Amino acid sequence: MIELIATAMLTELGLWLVLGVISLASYPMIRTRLLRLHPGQSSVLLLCWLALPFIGSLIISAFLYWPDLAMHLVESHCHANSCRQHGPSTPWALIPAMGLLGWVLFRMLLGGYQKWLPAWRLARQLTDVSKVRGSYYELPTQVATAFTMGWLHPKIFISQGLTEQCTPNDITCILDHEQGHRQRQDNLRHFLAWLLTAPFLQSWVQQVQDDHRLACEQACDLLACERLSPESVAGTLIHVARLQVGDCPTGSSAFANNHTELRIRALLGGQPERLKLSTLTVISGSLLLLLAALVNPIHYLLEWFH
Amino acid sequence: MFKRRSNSNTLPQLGGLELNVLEVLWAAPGQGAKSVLQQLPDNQKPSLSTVQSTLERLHRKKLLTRSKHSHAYIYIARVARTELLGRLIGGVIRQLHSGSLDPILSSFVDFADGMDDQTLDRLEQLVQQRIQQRTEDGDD
Repeated sequence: MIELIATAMLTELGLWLVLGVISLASYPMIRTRLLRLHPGQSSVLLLCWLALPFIGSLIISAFLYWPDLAMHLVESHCHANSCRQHGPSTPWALIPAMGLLGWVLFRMLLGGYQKWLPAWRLARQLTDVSKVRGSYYELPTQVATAFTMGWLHPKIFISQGLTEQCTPNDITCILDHEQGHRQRQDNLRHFLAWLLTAPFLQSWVQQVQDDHRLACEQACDLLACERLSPESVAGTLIHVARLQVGDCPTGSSAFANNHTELRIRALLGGQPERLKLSTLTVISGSLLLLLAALVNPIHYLLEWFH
Repeated sequence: MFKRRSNSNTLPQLGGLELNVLEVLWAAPGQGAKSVLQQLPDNQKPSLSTVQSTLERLHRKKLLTRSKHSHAYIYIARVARTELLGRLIGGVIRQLHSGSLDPILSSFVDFADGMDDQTLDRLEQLVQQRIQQRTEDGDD
């Protein structure tokens, strides 16, 4: 029994890593096409792309080890005169399975300790020191900034400095944009994107995660366009970016990207295309068939190692 | 690899009750635990011993000074409200710039974009051209 569980765990985690490497390596092939789509759709598709290795490995493992499913996809064969349905099992899987599981848990716990815990504490402190102004919290600082913070019950923060230097139109645009983040649960999506790629090196996943962030921002820009013109939203982005140019501390720089410029150009570029439901159905169906087709060869491959 | 907790922002970690106690002492310095308890918001009335522990903790974090009057301590805030809030918000802004809050936050304009005035001028021109084009198309 322990052999079977260890092999199943090793299979699942191993497949997750292998499929992850394949999906990250093949991402450049689909990137340009994905980023041309409506950002509401592309942000979901990007998250699905990140989830594909984990979901795919779960599906394949389920087909390998659940007898009722395995009988449809694994060619019937016998071992030592026993012909009943079985999942591949090997006695040496325990140590590698524990090793892989340890690695995945370590990456998740490390990320949680380094990133999430301090951010969560800070969010609580900001709520305590800010004043409630209707649908947002006003930060007592002259630095121009606005953001949405939190996963399950995100809160909108806008600084005093920003409200004092923006027109009512700008504030409407900022609030509509940030409400968009709240409605779409974008911070929770970023968390999922991180969780699904936690076992992989940051440098491998950074491009996909960055594109996902950009798509979420662009989706919220389009939500702001429901009340204001695209040029108005672009104008607010430029205005806030100018205010922040002066507030940037010397020498501070993270992964510098050009999201703001891309967002402005997208707003001025007209309506992006959407993939039809039929196309999405065909793509999803093809992927499912591909995963199902892998079950039999993976079963024999695992038994060959044994 | 494992950062010290106090590196995550520029303040010692402060909970909601600690901030409320500080607000009471900023409004009226030189109070003991009983009078601080009386002035806390009605929806946040802990026990006297909890307030005493909180005052003790804030004293250990060097945010309060105290002196003994008969059997009780009297507390005064060491750091002014504006300074403390300034340090807290400054810490947030620094973390916004560094991107370390990315996991839990979505900014309206990402500080990490690092845009310069020339780029912004160019983009503003594009917006104006687009508005002009729209107006002309509308006139047609």
